[in-house]
Amino acid sequence: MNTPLQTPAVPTAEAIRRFVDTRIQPQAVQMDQDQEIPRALFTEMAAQGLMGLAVPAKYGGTAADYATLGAIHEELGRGYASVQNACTVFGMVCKPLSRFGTEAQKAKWLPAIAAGEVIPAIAITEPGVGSDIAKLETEAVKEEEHIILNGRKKYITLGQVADLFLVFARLNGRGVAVLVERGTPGLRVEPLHGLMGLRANMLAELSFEDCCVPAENMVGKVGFGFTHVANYALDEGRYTTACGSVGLAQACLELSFHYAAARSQFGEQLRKHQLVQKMLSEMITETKAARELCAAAGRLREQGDPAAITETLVAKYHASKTAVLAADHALQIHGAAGCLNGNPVERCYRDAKIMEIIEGTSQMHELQIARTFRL
Amino acid sequence: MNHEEIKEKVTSFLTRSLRTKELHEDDNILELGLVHSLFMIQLIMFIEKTFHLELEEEELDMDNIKTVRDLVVLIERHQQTGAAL
Ligand SMILES: Cc1cc2nc3c(=O)[nH]c(=O)nc-3n(C[C@H](O)[C@H](O)[C@H](O)COP(=O)(O)OP(=O)(O)OC[C@H]3O[C@@H](n4cnc5c(N)ncnc54)[C@H](O)[C@@H]3O)c2cc1C
Repeated sequence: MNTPLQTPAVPTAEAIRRFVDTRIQPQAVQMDQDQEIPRALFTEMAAQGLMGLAVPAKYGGTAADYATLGAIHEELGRGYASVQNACTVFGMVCKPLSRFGTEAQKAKWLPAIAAGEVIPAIAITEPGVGSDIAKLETEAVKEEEHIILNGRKKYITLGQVADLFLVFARLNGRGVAVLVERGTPGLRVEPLHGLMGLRANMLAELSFEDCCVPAENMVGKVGFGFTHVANYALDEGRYTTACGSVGLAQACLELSFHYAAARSQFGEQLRKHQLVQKMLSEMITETKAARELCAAAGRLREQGDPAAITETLVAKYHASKTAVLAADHALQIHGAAGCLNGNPVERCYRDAKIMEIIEGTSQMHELQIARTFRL
Repeated sequence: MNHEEIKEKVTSFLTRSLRTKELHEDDNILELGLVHSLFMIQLIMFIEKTFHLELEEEELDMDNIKTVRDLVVLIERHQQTGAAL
């Protein structure tokens, strides 16, 4: 793929706010109903620099610093969680590829991903293995100049449309990460429809049957798959998912403010009722707290402080819970109107819950936070 | 950055990351059972941000970086060759 390398400017949160308000939010209901993000929107997002946020400038990316990255993901999360999560996946592939990929891998894939020409996906989860990723069953065998994959992956975001999969497997018992192009013989992609939330994630189930790729498609060394590559991807994903969750909570807050002012009961606007005020106050406080936790994690990440990893876990844990709380209150404030399909609050309610599951469930966060404190 | 400064930064990083009070130059963090699953990504972040250098794949193998001394030697070697990010 010959993508001319330009060095696009890092998008600002303000520019992305405008883009979200004009191009993402108005299409969110449709995307949720259609269960897809239109390819044209990916192209528009690439033009905004959103596909290259985790790609170094040298490879045509916008390589945002963590404060900017966080602010952008908050805006995206405010617009539509599936679009935000798609950008998380771009980061989860590009970040480890930039760090552990060979020069040839980086030169081939990163510019094309940043340009929106190649959609990536990350394939860790399997039908039998979710949280316990060290137990992955997909098997990789090295035969001369090839790697042969056998196994299955499930719930893979963007899997329906992805051109490139970063697949995690086990080679002689040790973790490996391997790049697999769509169309590789032996790779079958089956769409998974009917998700409760993040319905436009275009999930797929993948099966590998003697799927043979060149040995040079391995990202990092044998044994680096889980400890280095997957952890690097998940850590990045947790940060942007945390920030996206703040955006989702903020959307719930804004919708609730608006509705509580527009609707009156018992002769007064809803916002004048103290029990409604309690819900709004709680949403305001928790959203602000989650935003501050994300900012703290972002600052430490930028400094390279080892505490950044735990702060990121804490931020994702709290922010995803906040999204759920805010969506719950928002739906309560909207009453029956919020229960109607097509109302943004109804979608936020469904989307929020997923934030507590992806990039590590809340329970896994609790365990990991405890572990990093040597509890 | 001189040798003592590097050593001080490495020791401070390791004690914070591994949540241990004390670490001598040749204490083996693997044998002490201190390494947790997120250690490697903390280490990469620390080295890249603090010393502005990128370690080679081989060097990111836990077997090569078991002590404060191992890490200091590694960082100094990179600083001498001038291979930076
Ligand atoms: C919308 C969506 C998008 C996704 N996208 C991707 C993707 O792009 N790529 C990918 O690889 N995966 C993806 N996933 C999968 C996701 O990463 C997993 O769902 C997640 O890691 C949890 O695994 P699981 O669902 O198998 O739950 P399990 O691991 O089976 O856990 C089930 C429940 O048990 C709890 N539990 C498990 N172990 C413990 C324990 N030791 N102590 C206490 N509680 C425990 C969990 O917290 C959870 O509540 C996606 C999932 C969704 C819903």
